[in-house]
Amino acid sequence: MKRILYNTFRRTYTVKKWFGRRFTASGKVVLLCLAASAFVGLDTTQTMAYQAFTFLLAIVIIAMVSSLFFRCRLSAVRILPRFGTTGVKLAYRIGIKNQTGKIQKGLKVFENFKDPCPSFKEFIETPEPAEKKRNLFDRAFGYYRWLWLISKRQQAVTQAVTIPLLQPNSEIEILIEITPSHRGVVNLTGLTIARPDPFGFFNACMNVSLPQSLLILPKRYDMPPVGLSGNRRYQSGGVALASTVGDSEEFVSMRDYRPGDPLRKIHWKSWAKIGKPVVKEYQDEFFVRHALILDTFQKTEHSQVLEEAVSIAASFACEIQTQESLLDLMFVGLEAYCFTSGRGLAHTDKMLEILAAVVGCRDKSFDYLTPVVISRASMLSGCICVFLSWDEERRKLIGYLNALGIPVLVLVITDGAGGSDGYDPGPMLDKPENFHLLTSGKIQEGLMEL
Amino acid sequence: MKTPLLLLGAALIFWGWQTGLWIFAAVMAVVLESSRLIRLRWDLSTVDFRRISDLCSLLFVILLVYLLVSDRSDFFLIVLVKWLPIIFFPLLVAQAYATSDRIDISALFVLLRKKKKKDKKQESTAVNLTYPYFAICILSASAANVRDVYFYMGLFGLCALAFWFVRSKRFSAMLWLGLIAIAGGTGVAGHIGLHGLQLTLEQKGLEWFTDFNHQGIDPFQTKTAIGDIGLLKPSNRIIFRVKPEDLQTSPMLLREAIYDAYSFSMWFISNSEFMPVRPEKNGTSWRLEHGATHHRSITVSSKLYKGQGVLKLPGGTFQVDRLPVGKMERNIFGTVKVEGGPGRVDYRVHFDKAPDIGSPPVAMDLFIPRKEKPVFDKIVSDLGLVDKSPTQILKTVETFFQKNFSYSLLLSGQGPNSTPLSTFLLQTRSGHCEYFATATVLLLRAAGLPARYVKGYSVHEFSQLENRFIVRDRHAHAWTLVHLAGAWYKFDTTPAAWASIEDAAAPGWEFIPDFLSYCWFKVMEWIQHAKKSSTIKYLWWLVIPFVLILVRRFFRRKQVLRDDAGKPLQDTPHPQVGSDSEFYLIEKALNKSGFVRHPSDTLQNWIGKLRNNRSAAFWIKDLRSILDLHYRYRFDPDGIKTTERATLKSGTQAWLDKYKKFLDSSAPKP
Repeated sequence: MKRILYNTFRRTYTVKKWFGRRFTASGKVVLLCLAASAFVGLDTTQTMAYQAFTFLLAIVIIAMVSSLFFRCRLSAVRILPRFGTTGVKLAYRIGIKNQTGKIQKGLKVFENFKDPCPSFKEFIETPEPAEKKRNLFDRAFGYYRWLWLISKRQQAVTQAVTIPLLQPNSEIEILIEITPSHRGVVNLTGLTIARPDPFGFFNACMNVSLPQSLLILPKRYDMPPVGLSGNRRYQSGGVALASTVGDSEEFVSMRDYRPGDPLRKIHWKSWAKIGKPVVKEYQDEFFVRHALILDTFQKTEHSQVLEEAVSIAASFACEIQTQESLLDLMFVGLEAYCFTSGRGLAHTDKMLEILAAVVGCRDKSFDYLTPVVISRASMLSGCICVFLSWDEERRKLIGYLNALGIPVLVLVITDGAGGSDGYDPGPMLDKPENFHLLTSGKIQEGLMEL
Repeated sequence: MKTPLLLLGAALIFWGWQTGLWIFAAVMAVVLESSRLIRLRWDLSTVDFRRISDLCSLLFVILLVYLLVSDRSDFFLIVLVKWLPIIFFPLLVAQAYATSDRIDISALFVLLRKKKKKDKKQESTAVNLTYPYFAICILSASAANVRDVYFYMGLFGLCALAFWFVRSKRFSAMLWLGLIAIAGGTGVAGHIGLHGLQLTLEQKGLEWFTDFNHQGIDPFQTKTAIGDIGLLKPSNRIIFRVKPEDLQTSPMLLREAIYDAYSFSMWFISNSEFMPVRPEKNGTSWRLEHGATHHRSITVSSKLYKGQGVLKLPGGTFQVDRLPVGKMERNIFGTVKVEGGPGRVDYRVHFDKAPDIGSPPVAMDLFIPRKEKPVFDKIVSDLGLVDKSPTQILKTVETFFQKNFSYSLLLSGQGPNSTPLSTFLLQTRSGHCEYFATATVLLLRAAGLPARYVKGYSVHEFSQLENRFIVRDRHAHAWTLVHLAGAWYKFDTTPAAWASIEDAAAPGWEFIPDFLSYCWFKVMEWIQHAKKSSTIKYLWWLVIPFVLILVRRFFRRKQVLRDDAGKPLQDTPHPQVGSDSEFYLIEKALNKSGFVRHPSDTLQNWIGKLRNNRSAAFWIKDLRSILDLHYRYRFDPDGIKTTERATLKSGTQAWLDKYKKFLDSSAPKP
């Protein structure tokens, strides 16, 4: 039964897409009138609507036949930005060149995305967020799940854009807007150039292959200033490539004297040698270093709670002042990852790129992350934990960090189904201001209370 | 997109011309087209459009119910279509005279409203209703069914004008004109062809269609399946229902038609004359014979295709009541046909259990076709029927069929040199009721007894759900009438197991269509009853409160603006939700004590900072819960409950009292 439904949805999607591309808005109204006249004029002896039906049918047939005579040579170049952000409209340019000796007008361009239809396995295994709230029929039928999967896999929506008049053998640039709906990579396969028929009801289409991809960064929330207490910590051996220098005894390099440099750092021998003051630089081994622990452990491949967690992590990554501190992003995907940014080591956009690609971890338990955090605990000034649940394993980790005296901010994302019951602060009992439950769908409100 | 100047007016005039509603059309056209001259505009919101849409829906429902109840024909929907421009006119007027020329589509459909209510972030889609209204006008004009060339000319002209404004500018006007002319010509050829096709199909398929519907049995002739090859597959569809007055009434046979002449697998009547039957004074009672003292009654609920058909009557019927038909005719065999009735009838039949006197036998009642005669003579001789009395003949014939024959829906055709009947009688000895009935009629005739062939239904399936007998297509049956001692007696030689054999072939899910059929039957029964009942008139009073409620909702606010006035709307201050929160008293008290909040600080931040202040920390720790409530009261779209509001008030008061006491005690005493 599910297989039949899947095949039906797939075919319906193809037909719907074809219908949407081929028929203009006026064409759709004409089709609607055609159907209405067919219904009213079913008995040709009772009404005259059958005459309207045959006239409209003739119009539609002529419009469709005329689409067979569309011959046009156009080439296109897409100039894509590096990133987009979920939920934020993104505009980019497309250069279109008319390679014919005729004026081209009244054309429209559609962006083509890679086929977003999920596989049968994915359709069966991936429930829509909040699917439990749907009625029995919708859950069994799975149409809303299908729509959601299509939207998730396509990751962006766009509108057709009218191409201004194209002179013979000339080039023109148009602006296209897409609205990313999900993080990840958007695969664009090409463009469809559409030309309406003389009546303006049916489009003749021509495809231009133009495969490109675009990374969509996670959605970000406005964050209040997060003031994690915690001191600079000794970083054994320093942090290679960190932008500022400090006061350890580890020599890094020599540089020209700048007014204000302490006299004790002047390298007198070099001054004597080159004739201008030179100072010695030492590697800094004391940093403020925060960890951002992202919980990715869940049973399903996708969940809205994980998406919210990634968005919160992205919001923190942008908010924390990394000019003066380091930020370690820790999570488990195929394996345990730890990315460090701040003080010139890596920029925030790098962190967002990584977060854009985070997927849920289904084959490991939370225990897998704990040693990664513990191994770095001695270097950490503070820790922000974004959890998908608040079970014993997670409490254990927080308890351990508390025992080490590391300030912790715990955010637990819930889907709001079970209320706030069953979320005993546990090890965070004595610091309730650092323990927050955030409900999916009301994250922004929750974050403003931090 | 708005329609060009006068197009909508022209469409309305066209509609008025076709339907004869000239006055309405002219007024409506003037009102709509005047909107281009008049600069007066209503400031209508989506909620207002929703109310107007509700008004249109209400008008639609009222008209639908009215037509359903008052219109006797099955084409009330077409009448409804004719009135659509008037029904949707309020919506168009609202759009034409509103400040916006578009309407949020969610205002028009209840489902979309619900969807939008659920998902408030959903983007609104605004539509201009002028083109859809234009299409409605054309469609409604077609419902007038004025069968002349002017309709197509008007349709073509108006559509061409409308299409001109949406054409693709890429192509030349000449090309467009050429193509629209081709479309117009093709449309003419198409609709002539389509109409011709329907007439041809109706003509050619009439026989099949009437067979399928089982509404128009031909009282003059009937074709049997005798001689066919294959398997009979009667459907399980319920054809009619029978409610006996006495529920203990045993199963019975209802006749539709009686025939007396057989030839080449077909039965005919030798005398095709039908005589009219006059109705009683009430116009719905029809007396066929003189009444009997002891009689029984049944009510038959059946359909009449296009108001005409053949009645299903038991033997001995002398009167039919509650049958509102225009004409009734009866032939000498007892077949009764009616005309000019409604689509559905529930007629009451009074019948006598005594044998049917009917018309006396004629020569045709003893006629046997020449080709069939040798077989029947042989059987008569084999069974020794020549010297037997009529009663013995009947007994012998019945025994002959019961012992030697079996019931089967398998049609075996005929042998190479024999008729289908002789194949049945001498070789296969298996067949369905038509074989048995035909063979019996001819065998009795060969034995010297006048006999006739009867076609009808066996009524034997009682439905507990409906509390009446239901008769399906597969219950169709054929049997014999034999004339004995001055009367016609029913004589059925088909093996008694025929009904159970056919019932056994019914699918297990038969109860589903049965239930749906019953629901539809009850709905139609209610409508029928409503049409007859005078109380329906009073039901219209129920509509008045609805209209009043709607009018009240619509005219509650006057929202007329002049768009040329150029005056900006006065900004009326909207009270902020939660601005009356008692928490501001706490803020005031703390400010007074020197803990001033910077304008850029949120209350949350400010309280957080005060927590680190030693002199204030003691007082601040109690504020967390009050602040949470204040935030929810101020910003939560769902607001807070009454009890929580009271808690906020009392909590604030308690805190203020405590704080005041502290200040009083710590103040330096003179």
